[in-house]
Amino acid sequence: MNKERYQVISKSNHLDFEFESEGPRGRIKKAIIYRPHNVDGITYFNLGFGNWNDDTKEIDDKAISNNLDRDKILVTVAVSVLEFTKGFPDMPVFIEGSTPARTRLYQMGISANMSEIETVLKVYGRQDGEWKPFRKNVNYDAFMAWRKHNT
Amino acid sequence: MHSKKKNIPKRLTLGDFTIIIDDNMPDRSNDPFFVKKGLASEESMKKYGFPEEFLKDRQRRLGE
Repeated sequence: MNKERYQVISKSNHLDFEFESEGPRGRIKKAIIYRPHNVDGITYFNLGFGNWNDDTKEIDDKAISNNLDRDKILVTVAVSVLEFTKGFPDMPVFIEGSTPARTRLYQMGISANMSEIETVLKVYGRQDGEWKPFRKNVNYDAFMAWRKHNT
Repeated sequence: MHSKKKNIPKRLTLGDFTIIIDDNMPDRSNDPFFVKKGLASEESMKKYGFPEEFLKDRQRRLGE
């Protein structure tokens, strides 16, 4: 994945990532975390992503950065998915935005980077409650990605 | 003079991207936003389940 992206910092557990968005609104710290959940005896990891507020020490999920670096951020999040699944190759990642607009953003990010992503991951989108292989120009309400065997 | 071992971030190169490893990052596991998102994902997954292809891949891996 050779597109422009931010330098990512990660814990050695491959579960916690952060980076700093840089743009007209300054430097904004972004946090990505992967946490395990279990449904019907099957474990998956939920991707959480948001702006980190250093004053409150909490994610600010209402913040809209407008730092004019959307594509760079989406590539950076995609890099974290690749890194996470490298550490946990058997685990699927569930991705859903906190609002429909943010889910659409993830969809744009996946679409824009699909040629690189699909070399190592299988990506599905959920539409009307049904999981289908991800296709560009189709609207989904959630996504699931997992490592292809032997990648 | 005391010499205290510092946890110095190191660089890890993976394919064509480099990630800095830093275990001093804050633990955000209990952040209300992430907790809420995690619980919402469980509800969603309970309702709609997993992609059929993932279940098949998983079954194949478990059988190996």
